[in-house]
Amino acid sequence: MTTTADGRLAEVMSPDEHAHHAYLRALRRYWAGPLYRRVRERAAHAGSEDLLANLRDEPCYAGFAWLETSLQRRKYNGPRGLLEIARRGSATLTEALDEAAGNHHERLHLTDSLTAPRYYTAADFHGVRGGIYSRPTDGLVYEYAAGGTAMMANESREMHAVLADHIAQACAPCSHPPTVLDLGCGFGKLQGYLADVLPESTTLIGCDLSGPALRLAHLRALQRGFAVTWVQSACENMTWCLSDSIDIVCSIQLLHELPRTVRRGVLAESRRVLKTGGELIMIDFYATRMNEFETLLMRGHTVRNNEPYLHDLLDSPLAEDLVDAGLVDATIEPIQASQGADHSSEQWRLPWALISAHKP
Amino acid sequence: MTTARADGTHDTAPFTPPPLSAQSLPPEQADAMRETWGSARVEALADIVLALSAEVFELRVRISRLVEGSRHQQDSEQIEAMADAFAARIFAPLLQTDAGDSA
Repeated sequence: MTTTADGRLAEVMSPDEHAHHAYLRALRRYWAGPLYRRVRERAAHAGSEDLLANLRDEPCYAGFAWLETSLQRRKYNGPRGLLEIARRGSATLTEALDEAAGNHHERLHLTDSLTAPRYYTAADFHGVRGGIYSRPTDGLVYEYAAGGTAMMANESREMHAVLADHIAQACAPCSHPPTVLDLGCGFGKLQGYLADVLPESTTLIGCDLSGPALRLAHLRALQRGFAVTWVQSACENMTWCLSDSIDIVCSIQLLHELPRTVRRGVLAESRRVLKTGGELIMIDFYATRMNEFETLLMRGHTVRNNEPYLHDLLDSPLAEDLVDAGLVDATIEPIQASQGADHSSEQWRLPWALISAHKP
Repeated sequence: MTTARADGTHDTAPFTPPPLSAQSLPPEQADAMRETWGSARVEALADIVLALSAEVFELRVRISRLVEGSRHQQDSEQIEAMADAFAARIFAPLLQTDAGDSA
């Protein structure tokens, strides 16, 4: 790598834009903290009969719902939005990506002719116009956005680190160097954590539909000096991957981006590529039980954050889908917030769950 | 890692994309979730407050840089802390149920 630039969006932001996004992050913390706690307090007073109708006139609830959408919109759009910053800095930003693509190109398998499935292109997920697959800098926008204003920011511990630890535990008994396949790997954040906890002999593979995200993943892996094979593909149809070839299939925040038929296809495909005894380990948003208030906020989140399939996942029998895919020992465990008993520090959080199963 | 399936078979059921509308919340429920202030005018005003407050914050940071003589990279933790205080101040009214009832 000879490019001096690190290839990060922050490098092309003006001081005013840095301040702007610091303010949005602060509002995001205010929204998830004090404002959420106020809404919860008012909900407790509102009674449970038609909670939405009772809360709609509360300034705190209206503000909570409005900020949820507005912050997301402002983060990406407008003259200070990440999409515009990336467009303006595109020449500088893509230099590092282009250079990386020519380095160890055997690790980066992009398919220019790939037609992205309709479920992926039909909605602007998370309110990002054009998704994160259509512009060369989309991976960088995604990476910056995932830094401080995503739902991850509400957690006391990075969920990618939590998943990496579970994968390391599952790999520990392997008598051979394990092969780990990450579905919907995005810009390769999980691989960064896996490289820290798995032996160097591990074969890491990342699969995603977004070419720009994979190009960034490749750059970051090269910068950190670990080897990953990146494949642009739909996870429900991995014709490039041999049956019975993978020790661990994993994903984080993938299932809720898929309609159920695709989700079931992904699980079946995971079973096919797993070796006998291999393990599926995923972290996603799933709860077998939510109270009325939690349900209201979750359903609101699906609408206000443009999550077209999240409520579909929450409503679906995921354990049955795992069994139907031919997997066994399926478990779905909630991942609790570890913020202690201090209620003044409680934040709104999504129902993170650890999902695991084996191939018999 | 290989680039072709060895057995040439495909044991996953063929995938047909579902219609998006089938995956959405009932329209009336989705609309209710979207309608936050119940009025487009109030919503527009709220957007203006947000935009103006963001500009004022940028100015604050700029002034702070000049005062401290650091024209470029101000400590990012310091800016985040300033932003937290500013956001809480601007949007404090949202924590009230009505005028005079401060949370």
